[in-house]
Amino acid sequence: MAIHSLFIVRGLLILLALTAFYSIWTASHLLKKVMAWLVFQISIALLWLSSAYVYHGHLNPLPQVAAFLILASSTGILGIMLVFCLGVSRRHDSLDIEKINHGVSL
Amino acid sequence: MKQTESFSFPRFLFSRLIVWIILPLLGALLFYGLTALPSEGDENPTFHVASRYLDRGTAETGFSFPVLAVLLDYRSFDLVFLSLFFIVMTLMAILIGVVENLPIRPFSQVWAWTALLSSSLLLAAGWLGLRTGSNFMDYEFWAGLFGPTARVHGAEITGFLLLVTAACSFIWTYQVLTSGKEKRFGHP
Repeated sequence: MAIHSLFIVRGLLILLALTAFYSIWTASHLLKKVMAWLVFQISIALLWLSSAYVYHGHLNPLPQVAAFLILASSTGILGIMLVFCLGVSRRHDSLDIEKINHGVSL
Repeated sequence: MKQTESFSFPRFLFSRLIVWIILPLLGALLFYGLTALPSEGDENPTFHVASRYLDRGTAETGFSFPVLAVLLDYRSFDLVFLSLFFIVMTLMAILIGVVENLPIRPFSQVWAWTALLSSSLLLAAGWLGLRTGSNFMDYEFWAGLFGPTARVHGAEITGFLLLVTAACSFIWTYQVLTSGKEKRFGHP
């Protein structure tokens, strides 16, 4: 099987997505988790965009719409997570999970 | 106030174990999707419906740009789901502003109410279309009421309402996030 450059680009995007997914689980700081989740979503959106090449004489609109919806919903969820982080930081004076666990509870 | 339990090694191991179970599964799923995607220049119609959108999009929807035709007309139902994220974001920001008694100026609350109003209008119009027509935002139903141009205008109004909802939600959330900084991180 011939390996095309597009295949390599898609493979790298998947590796980026998996790395970000790993960080979502393992990062101890909430903002790092949020950023990792955002990188994961961006890499999935880019994966969609990688299949938006010319199709039947036009750019295929479906991957572009899917990428837009993923990015738009991700920014909405990003806002929700940041508001959650605000609440945590006001209660625990930190966004680090280990500090929160070792610190005082309410 | 009391001290919480200290660092738990089994819990740490369990969380790492879970991620190493899920990660290969997710990787396999993504690589399976990768092999299903057509390579460059391939005429294999992976997205069957795309050819219909490209062939009839302009005639049916009135949009010359296929992405807008799909986003605002054919797949307008997705926009309603999208607006739900912004509603939740706005409501959470209102809630934390009230609970934490954040010093937010009354004028700033206009952004929150505008976001809620525009999203409510979007949901109400969609609900009416769903009750009377066959889709959530049934543009053919609106075209029957207001003439053939109602379809494209309806789609434009949908996009406008979503844009207003998103913009106002972001401005409102930003104002909540930046207010009351002096009370954070141990600075009473």
